[in-house]
Amino acid sequence: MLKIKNKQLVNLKLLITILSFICICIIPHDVQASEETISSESIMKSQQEALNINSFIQEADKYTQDVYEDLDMGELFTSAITGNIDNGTIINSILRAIRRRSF
Amino acid sequence: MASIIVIIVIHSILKNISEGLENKGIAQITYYVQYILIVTLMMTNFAQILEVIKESIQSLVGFMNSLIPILITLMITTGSVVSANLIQPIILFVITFIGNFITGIIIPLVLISTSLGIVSKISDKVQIDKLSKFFKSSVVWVLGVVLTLFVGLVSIEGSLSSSVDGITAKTAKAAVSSFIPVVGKILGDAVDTVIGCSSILKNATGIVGIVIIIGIVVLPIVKLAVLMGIYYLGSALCQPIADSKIVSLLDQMGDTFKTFLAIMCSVSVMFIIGVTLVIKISNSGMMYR
Repeated sequence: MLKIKNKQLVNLKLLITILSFICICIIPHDVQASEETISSESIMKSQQEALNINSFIQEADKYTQDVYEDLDMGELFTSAITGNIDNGTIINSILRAIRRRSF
Repeated sequence: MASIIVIIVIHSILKNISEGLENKGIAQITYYVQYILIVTLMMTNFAQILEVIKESIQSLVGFMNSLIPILITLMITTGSVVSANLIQPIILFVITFIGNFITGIIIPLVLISTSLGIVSKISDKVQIDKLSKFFKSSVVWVLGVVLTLFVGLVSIEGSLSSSVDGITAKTAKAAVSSFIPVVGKILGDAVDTVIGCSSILKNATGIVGIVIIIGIVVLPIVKLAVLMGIYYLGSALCQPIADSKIVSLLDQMGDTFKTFLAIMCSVSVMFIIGVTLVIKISNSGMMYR
């Protein structure tokens, strides 16, 4: 009786092992997660859109149209993000505006 | 200024002629005519510059009212919740208060002071020069007190709350990294990346804001500085030929433009300091991480 039970248990173990092997082979390796990391640029872009910063910059442009005629605030914002603000352009724009108003 | 100098030269010639005739009545009449002409010319400049100042202060307040909510939102996204909640009411209140205070109280006070100064120069009998000076010095004092209060309040509250924000965020990150199994560390790093990006955006927005504030105030400030210089130069040039009252009138107008220049400079500096402090407060909170 005990021998029969042991034989059944061994068979069951074998069955489970075979089934597990089949499952491992059949289950697809495709996963939803992508390997590429999310760059900080895309995070900033999504935050800009979420907080509506672009419309703020457009609105801000209206206040200084007559001073910074040749300075685009969008470009200034992009250069501020990268840390490459050209002070010379800003100062030249101001000087040009003063010259325009004086003469 | 050229027309004012021409009037002064003509008056000095007429004065010499009337003194030669020994007729004091004619000399007095020519003085009054000259005075009215000079004051009319000065008032044209004055009205124009007053309009420019009012417009630029309104633009500044309008722009700050659209900049501060975005900066505060970006502050919250960097985790500076306590600082944002403390600073937002102070800054928004002070900006609105300053705009209304300057257009409703300070500028009228300067106008009263200028009018009293002009009236006191008409004749030696009417002397209200001290009252005019009192109004002018009170304007400068009030501006100084408002500037000090604003900067002091924002910097003290900001430095206190930024420490709280920094430590809270650090604790939260440590808890996420340790208590969430397997992905805790990745989650903590992702939060740090997002906060870092928000901080960059906040700093960039602040810089654009400061450039725009400078753009709004630069032309009025240059105009006021030039006018102030012209009136002081005019009074210096006219001193040898003109009446002493006319010289002090030109000096008085130079002082008035100097007061307007002080108003514009202090308001713009106040707003620039406000924006810089908002940027700096949440940046110092980030240092704790």
